[in-house]
Amino acid sequence: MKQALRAWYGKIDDYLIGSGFQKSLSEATIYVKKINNDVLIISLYVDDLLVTGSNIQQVGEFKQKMMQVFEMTDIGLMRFFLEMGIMQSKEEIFICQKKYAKEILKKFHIEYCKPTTTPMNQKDKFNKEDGITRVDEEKFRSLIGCLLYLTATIPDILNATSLLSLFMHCPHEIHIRAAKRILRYIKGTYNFGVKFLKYQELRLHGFSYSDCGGFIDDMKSTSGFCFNLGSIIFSWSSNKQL
Amino acid sequence: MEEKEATKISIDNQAAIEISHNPVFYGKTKHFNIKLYFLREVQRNGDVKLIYCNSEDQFADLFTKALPVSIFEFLKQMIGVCSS
Repeated sequence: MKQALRAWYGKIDDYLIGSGFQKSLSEATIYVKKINNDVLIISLYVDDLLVTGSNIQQVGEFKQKMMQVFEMTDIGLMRFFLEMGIMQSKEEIFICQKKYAKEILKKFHIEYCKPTTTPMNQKDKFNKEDGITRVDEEKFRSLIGCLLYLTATIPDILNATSLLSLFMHCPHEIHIRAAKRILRYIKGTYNFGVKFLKYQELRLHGFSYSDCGGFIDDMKSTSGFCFNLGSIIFSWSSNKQL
Repeated sequence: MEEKEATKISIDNQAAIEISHNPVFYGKTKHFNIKLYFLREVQRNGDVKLIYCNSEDQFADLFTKALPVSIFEFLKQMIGVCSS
């Protein structure tokens, strides 16, 4: 049935809101419930639910209730979710996409290449009319799509990837070569990821920067920002300015 | 979670910080985005504070341009990307 997903979302949405959860305004799949001084947070992904909270007892109660109402199983601590491997311990949480990175390298047949140290050559500048030979658009798009998903845990390739994604409609030889360089960089760093350490003092600190006229076509600039909370950045972006 | 003090945002452009504080106008400062007025407002309310930092400590550098290996490796370490 085509509408099955929508029907399911409506059902679980009604149930969660009915049992006192509040839906987050900016993220439609996050539900928060405040009980006295404790919070219970649920992240919903189609039929997978991630549950966390400040009180373990409440989390347990919620799981029991969900298992009664819906046909659900509790598979314990989160280890693997949406192609992301998650390692949790008392002191730290480490998230990486090792398996996914390996799959991409295999998919684009460069698993035996020589790794590079940076994702992009400093002197590379791209414009729409680079080179003569057009390449297969479909392959290029699929490659960029894969890389964009990898930026979830490898923020260092974000700039190079978002730059190349601007040429998805007119890829030339030079663009695909640059994209392959990112893959070669990933080959060297595929077991890297982001590590969240336990921190006593949480302080939000932002960083904002922009280059000057990096795009040859229209002389526009790139702006980038990242936000740091405690030990590590948790939000990052790299955009072409309007 | 509540914030007790203003969120600090590091920028390595001192002129931008000055302009965000006081509305001076002369020939060289034009073409402002409307966002500037929003920035002035949140700064006045004390939600955000712009501070100056050196180019070397600017983590967001990593997201705007291709960098040489040494700086790239340093920034990567600073933002917390590491192997297991």
